[in-house]
Order: sequence, then structure tokens, then C-alpha cells
Amino acid sequence: MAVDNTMRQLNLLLVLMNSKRPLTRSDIFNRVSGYAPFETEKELEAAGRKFERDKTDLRQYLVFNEVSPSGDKQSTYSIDLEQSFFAEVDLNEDELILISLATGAWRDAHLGQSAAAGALIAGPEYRGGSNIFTAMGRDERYLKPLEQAIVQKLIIEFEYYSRNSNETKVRKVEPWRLVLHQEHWYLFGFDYEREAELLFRLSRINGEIVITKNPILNPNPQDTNPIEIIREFQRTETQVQVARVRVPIADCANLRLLAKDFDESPAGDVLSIEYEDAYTLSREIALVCDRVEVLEPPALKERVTNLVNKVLAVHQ
Amino acid sequence: MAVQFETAVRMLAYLRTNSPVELKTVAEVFDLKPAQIRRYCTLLNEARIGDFYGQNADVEIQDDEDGVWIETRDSLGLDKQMRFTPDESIAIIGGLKYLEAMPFLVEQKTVAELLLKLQSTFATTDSIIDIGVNAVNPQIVAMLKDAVSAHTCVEIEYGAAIDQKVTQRIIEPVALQANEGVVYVRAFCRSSEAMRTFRVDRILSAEALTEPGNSQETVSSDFSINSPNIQTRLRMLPEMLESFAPETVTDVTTVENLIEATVSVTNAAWLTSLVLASGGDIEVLSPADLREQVVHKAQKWLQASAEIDLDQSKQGETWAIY
Repeated sequence: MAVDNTMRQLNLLLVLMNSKRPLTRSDIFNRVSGYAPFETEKELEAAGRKFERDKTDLRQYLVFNEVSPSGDKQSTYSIDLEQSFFAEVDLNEDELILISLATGAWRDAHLGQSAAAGALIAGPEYRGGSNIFTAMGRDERYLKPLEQAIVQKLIIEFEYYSRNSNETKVRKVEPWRLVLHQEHWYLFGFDYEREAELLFRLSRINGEIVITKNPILNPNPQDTNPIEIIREFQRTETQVQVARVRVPIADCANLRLLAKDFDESPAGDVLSIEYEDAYTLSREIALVCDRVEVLEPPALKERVTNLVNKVLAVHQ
Repeated sequence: MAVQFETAVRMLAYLRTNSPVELKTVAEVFDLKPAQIRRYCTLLNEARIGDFYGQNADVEIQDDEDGVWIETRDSLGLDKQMRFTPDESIAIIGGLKYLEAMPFLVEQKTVAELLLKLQSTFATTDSIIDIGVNAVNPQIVAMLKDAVSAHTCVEIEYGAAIDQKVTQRIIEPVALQANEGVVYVRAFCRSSEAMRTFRVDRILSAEALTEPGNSQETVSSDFSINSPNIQTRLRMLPEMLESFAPETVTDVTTVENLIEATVSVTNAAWLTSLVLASGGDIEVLSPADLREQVVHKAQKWLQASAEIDLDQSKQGETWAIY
């Protein structure tokens, strides 16, 4: 049955594409096999229902024109070829490799099936055309439903764990954008609870995302950069601070990577680290707390001590 | 087997514009099995303009000695691809934006020009995906890229994430990989005498060598890890699960807002460091010795901090006397 439906729809497309003028429903029934029989009123109704379904299906992919003239005249149907199909694009080899890399980035990810269409332009021969490999979104199962909700501009609901309140609640959100920042995926949207633009970390979503039938009311703010919002949120200091930490030789690589400068001494290297985000830096120091010494500022040292005390509170 | 309208239309246009084309290529492009491609071809061959015109498409499969080929002589005017659907457009644009966010790997201008060229192929040109890439030293990436092309070696000072130790290594880079916005270099490491994947943002310094590399590895996009050998039971905030590779996590249960999971890791020192940096968001439930290591390291910090504070207060007293 599914094959019959697909073949009827394909033939309907071919008939409309090859017709010099828009066709009426009777024209279509006569030219496309699959609608017959339509001799009796009941059969004609059944054929009409099939045709309505086909129109809906075709409209997912094609610009399907329907003109309803006034009076007794029948509606006419045609396909807007220019809007429905793409013209040949002249691409050089480098560009084809880029498309292959872009589609390959989603391989094995939840948007992989959609991205695979890129192979229609840059086929398998361009895979491996460069010494670069790309990957993203492989383990992020929420990307697909979120992408669909954003495309359809529909409100979503999901259970979300808030670190601030330490509780899980159902949130109602108008979804706008997906954000990848520092290896974490976020949803940027309008939150009904806070009545504000908000970023939701996908790893704090619990259960399934429900796509409601309600359309979003607030448009996606094009001039807002969600990544800047995250960076601003992460900033704990009003101006750049400098931390001095002593680390053993050839050790504490995570802190060395952050250092702008260092002084060698027999007791270890003293690193100078500029920072605006004390939250992240204190966690980096806690990572190697058994062999690092914070010389200044005291506030940073206190942050690390707080973190370490919390670890001890949980483990003792 | 499901026969999709979208696939049928796309395949007929693809077969016409690429005729003759090998069946295995079509299978790769459409991500279908060869048997499924054969089924589609049979059906497409029966596609017709209609009873009124009486014309059929002409798609023929030929089994030759050099492979199975598909020849399409007539696609009844269907020789252009349908515009990409909104889903497809967003995924492909998202992939290109991902590349654009890495100017040290790909020229931004080229990607921007390509997006403009492709505009007519997309149902929507909206980009709903924003990408923030981890900062890397562009000079180091450029050096690694050159070494990949020239098959030469690079001497690096590398900070291993597993124990934070800094080591000097001579590597023979074979490929660059970008995974979730993090850039890696796949290389033969002469110190380890094995293929290794290094995070570029953990390379402290690099020097290009003229010495040729002789690594024989076939380039692949695998992000493999060493076999984990320590099993640990952890209680943590759900988001902390992101710290572990999904294949290393089993037996996950939820207790109120926290989850408990069994996680297999390769290095105990790495796990204890992670637990310390979590500030209480991860708790080691077992094994007991791992839990003790966490406590021991935490106490070491507190002890050292107290000693320094004491030294400093003594220093203050001395200054006061003089």
C-alpha cells in the first residue's frame, strides 16, 4: 500500500511537471493512475480523499500551487518548478570537500539523517578529500526533537534540573536556537517561568521533550549572541585578575596552559594566570589540589578550599 | 521495505544526472543497502508520466564484470534535485557553520561564499545553530596542518589530561579532527611508539622538524580510548555524566535529583582529580580505596593551606616586631 501511495505521488509529480498548463482535479484523475476508479460518487469521494492526502505530502517538499477561481470553475494545480527544485550550482573541488566535511560532521549523530542529503551535491568521492575530520552532536539525543520544534516554531515542555534551586521542574519554553559551547550543548529560548530569554543545558533535561501544538509568540532575537550570554554568565570578576600559583616542574599542565607567564624556582614554577572566571579557575586548581599552592589572591584560595570542603563533606 | 516519496524523487534525479553510476555509489549517497537500491530502481523504471501520455522512466541495472551499474536514459524531465527540506537545510548549514567557527582549520571566507552559492538549494537559510569553539593556538594548528601535508615531524610539549604531567614528544601527525568544537591531532607518537590522539589545546609548545615521518596508519576518524580497567560506582548530578564516554557508563539509576552509575575508567588519578574539581557534584561510592584517595588529596590541600597561612601570620608578627 505504501509503495502504491509513493508511486502515485511520484506519478502525480511527473504529470504536473510535464503539463504546460495547470491541471484540474479531473485532469489529474484521468492522467495519474492510482486514483481510479471514480465512476460512482463514493469512488469519487475516495479518490478525492487520496488526492487531498497527496497534496499534503507533496507540500512537505515542493511548492504546490492551487488556484481557486470564482464561480463554478474547478480549482487548478501546478508545481512551481523554480521554487521547488534547485538550479545547478557551480562548485569547485575545495567547496565540494567542505560540503562533505559539513555533512560528515553529523555522521552517527541525531541530525545525521537530515545532513546526509548533502551527499547529493558532494558524493562519497569527496569523503576523505582532506586530512580533517569533523564530528558533533553524536551523543545528544535531544538535538532532533529540539530542531523540529524550532523549525515548526512550536512551544515545548520538558523536565529540567535547576542548579540554583536544586529541583527538577517542568519548563515551558519557546525554542529558538541550539548552541554548542565548550563541548556542551544548550537550548536558547524564551522561558515562561522566568518570563525571560534563557539558556538550558541539554544535559540537565530529564525524560522526553514534548512538542506542543501551540505556536511560539516571541520571535527569535537575531541580534542576540547566546555564546556571549554564556561567557557573561561565567564571568565572576568585574575586571581581569591575576593569580599566582606554584606548581611542580613538568606537572599541572591544565594550569600551565592558562598561564601567561611563569618564573622558575627550585621549589617549582610560579605561574601568573589572568582570569575573569574564578569559578572555572578554582575548579582547575582543585583538579590538582594535592600538589599546587595558590600564592595569591586569597579569595581564589578560599574558593578552592570551599570546593575541597564540599568534596570532603560528601565523602566523610 | 518502505519506499519514500522524497527518496524516490531524489534518486530518479540523481540517477539521471549521474548516469551511468555504480550501484554501490548510489547506496552510499542514499545510505541504503544495495538490495534496497535495486528495489527503488525497479519501481522507478515503472514510474510514468501518466495514462494520458503513456511514457515510462527508463532505468536499467546492468551487472557487469567491473561492478553493477545503473543507466538512466529517461527520467521524464525530473533531472534536478528538490530543494533541501528545512530539516536538511538546517543540518547542512549547521555543519558549514561548525567549519566556519574554526578559522584555523578552514578559511571562513570560503565557507561564507559557499553558503551564499548554496542559497538556492535550501528551503530555509536560517541558521539555528551557534557554535563556540575551544580556543587553540592558531600557529600550532598551522604547524600541524603543514606537517600532515608534508609528512614531517613536530616536537611538542604536551600536558596530558589524565595526570596533568608535561612531557616532550616527537609526533608524526596524520590528520586533524574537530570533535564537539575541540581540535585533536591524530599522530604517531615516537615516545609511545603507537598512534595517539592529542588535544591541540593541551599542546603547550610546538616546534616543526624537517625530519620526515614514516607512520603507516590509514587515516581514520575514530576517537578511540584505551580499554577501561577500573570499575567504580558514582553518585552525581546528572550533568556530570557528560564527563564520561557513554560507552563506559552502565547501570544508571535515579535517586531524587541525583543519579548513580557504574563507570569504567582507565586511570584512578584522573577520576580522583575530576571528583575534587566537581566540588561535591560527584561522590565515589566504591571502591573504598578510591574514595580514600579523594579524601587524602583533599586533606593534603587543607593541610598545606593551613601551613602556609601559619607561615604568613608568623611573617606578619616578625614585621610587627621590627
